Amino acid sequence: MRINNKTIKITIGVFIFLFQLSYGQKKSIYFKFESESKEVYLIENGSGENVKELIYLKNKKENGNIIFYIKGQRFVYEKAKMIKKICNSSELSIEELLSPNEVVRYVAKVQKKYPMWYKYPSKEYPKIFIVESLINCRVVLFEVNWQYYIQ
Amino acid sequence: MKNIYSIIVVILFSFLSLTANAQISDDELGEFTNKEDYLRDFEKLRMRDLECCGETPNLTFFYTPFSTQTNHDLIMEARIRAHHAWFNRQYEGFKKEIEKQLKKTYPNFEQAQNEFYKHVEKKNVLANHGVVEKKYKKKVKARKVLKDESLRNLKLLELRRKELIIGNINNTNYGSFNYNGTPIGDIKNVSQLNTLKEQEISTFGTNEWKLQDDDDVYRYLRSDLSQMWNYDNTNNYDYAILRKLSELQMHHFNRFGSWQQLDLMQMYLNDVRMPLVMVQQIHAGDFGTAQFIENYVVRLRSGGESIFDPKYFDYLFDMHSEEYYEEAYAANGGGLTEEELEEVTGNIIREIEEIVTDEREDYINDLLGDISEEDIKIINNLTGKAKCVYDKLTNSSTGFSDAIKKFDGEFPVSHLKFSSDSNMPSNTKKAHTIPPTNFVIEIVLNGNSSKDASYQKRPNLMVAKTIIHEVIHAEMWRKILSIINNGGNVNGLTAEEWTSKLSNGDYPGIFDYYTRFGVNGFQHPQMAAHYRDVIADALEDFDNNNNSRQFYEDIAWEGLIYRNDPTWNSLSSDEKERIDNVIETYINQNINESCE
Repeated sequence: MRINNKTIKITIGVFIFLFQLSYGQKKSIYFKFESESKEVYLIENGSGENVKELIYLKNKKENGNIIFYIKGQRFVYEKAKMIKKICNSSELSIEELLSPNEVVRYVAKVQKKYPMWYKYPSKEYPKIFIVESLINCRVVLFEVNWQYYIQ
Repeated sequence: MKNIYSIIVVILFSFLSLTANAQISDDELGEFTNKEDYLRDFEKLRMRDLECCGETPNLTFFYTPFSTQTNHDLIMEARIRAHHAWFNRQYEGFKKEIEKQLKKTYPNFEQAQNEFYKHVEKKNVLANHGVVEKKYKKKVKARKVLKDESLRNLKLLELRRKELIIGNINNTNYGSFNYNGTPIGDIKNVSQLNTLKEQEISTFGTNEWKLQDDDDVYRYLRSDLSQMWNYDNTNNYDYAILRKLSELQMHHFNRFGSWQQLDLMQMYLNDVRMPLVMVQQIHAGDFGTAQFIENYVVRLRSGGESIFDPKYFDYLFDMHSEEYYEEAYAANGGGLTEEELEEVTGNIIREIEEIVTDEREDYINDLLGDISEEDIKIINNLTGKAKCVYDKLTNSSTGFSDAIKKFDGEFPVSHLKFSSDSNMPSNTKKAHTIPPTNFVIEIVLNGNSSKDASYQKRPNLMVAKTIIHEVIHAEMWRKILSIINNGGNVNGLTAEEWTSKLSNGDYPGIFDYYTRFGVNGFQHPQMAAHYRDVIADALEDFDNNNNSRQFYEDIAWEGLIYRNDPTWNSLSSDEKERIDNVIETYINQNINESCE
């Protein structure tokens, strides 16, 4: 079979397209959120002592936005801008659900490059989803962005 | 174990279906007769042998579903035997039972019944009004926030209008503000501005009349009906709402036939309601629900029509049109043609529209007159005790008000927003500061009154300390924003860019602490080392110097005591112990303090 220039150009084009498809878009990253959990961690709050705080805290605002705290890290779901999905846990193929300690490590890793976070949305970083379990094997996914705060 | 539960459930269902089958349908209501259809199933009733047992016993009251069922069986038995004398005797029994329950005597059953219904409904109203009150409090609060936002927008448009009129088209002083997403500097002519102003007035007006309506409901619940909520656990039933509810109960009662009314009354007196009720078609109802209270108050609330209410025009038209028509008739010698009548009506409509427009403009202008240029640059959504402490702080401390003024100067690099969060889930966070987003730095106080860290529970002086502490964080972010020049935001810069910008900026102190403690940890050490005096000064002013200087300096440490803080670690053990004790003792001694 003769391979002419046109065939080579098409082949290269297809490869570039597939490459873009594979690497141009980052996979999403998923954080576990157990709203019923009573698990606590210790944190300094400026009183000179370590105080106990729940690892998972959630605060729904009147405008429908939701603030999630995972081990002190603050994530904001903005109802007007971000996705919320409800699905059966069996339909969800999440390779990795990050634990609270992994979430803290992930935030520290991003902050090493962008101390006050990147501009959202970003092509450089994946979308973040909080995964919260509902009853009947259903889960709800909230797209969120990290937010700095200081007490 | 599961099997035992299943058997119990089956038995329970069988029992309930048996009693359900013995019930009377709505279309079978009737008076004294033992030929009525609803008695066909009487053999299913759990009755005594009718031939052997003499007269039917009186009804009894043990306030349980079982006494209700027993009574029901007795009523059916008496009905079959047409025991009219027994029937009449039960009403005397009802009267006595009501007198026993209400500890009061009545001349006859009807009066006793009427008061008993009020008694039942008073309990319902007292149990349910809180839900409605809470709902309207929330609605009013949300509408007030919208009102403030709308007024800020109108004020901003007015300021921009002044700039446009004097020809300042491209160098607005309000460049960091947005009007519904449009940078204020992008409004380049008066006509564009007027269109936006009209939209905003419409938004303001709609919110305003709804606010007034909701506020009227809330005030009615809080004032007109508050006597019942707050003080009246007595046998006083002299309230219009109870009279209305008693009427509904009587209406419900009168829907049934006489024998069924016996059942209804005995159910009430046994305090048996849905879903415990077994004789479903004759259920005893509770009418004083939250929904009823809301509908009742919405219908009867005090307060007039808002001038922004669409009905306000009709109200004025009804009030004044007759006078206008009379004048027109008089001017035309008592008669008007169809065309003349149409013209007069058109004139009346125009005149009333002008009156409405003028009234609305005057109202808005009065409100705008009370808003200073500074007010729109500091967004203060604090309410109640938090607002009270904030106001006292700004009035008492020049240091604090000077710090605040840095956010409202002629060319501020950022603006400050105060709010409280009534749902803040943390029991340890007293407040937090969110760095600039689109030029706005937000300070959020913990307003969750169930938490020890909330401003509601903490002493006023400590709330003042928290506000000052957070304003210092805001001031640090304001300085950083002026250095990084990043479009009103702090995100999107790499670590190298941060280092480069801060090292070349006007604030070497910030750069020093940033380098030593990193982005997550530099502000508290810097505050502990350099701003505790500022906090102590403001607290001293706030507290009218009621305590020693040392006391205020110790209090200023709250929120700054971290294990790795060099300034804290430079203190002796005695000093550290004293500071801990001063803070802890003061909080414990002044918990839940109010602010007036």
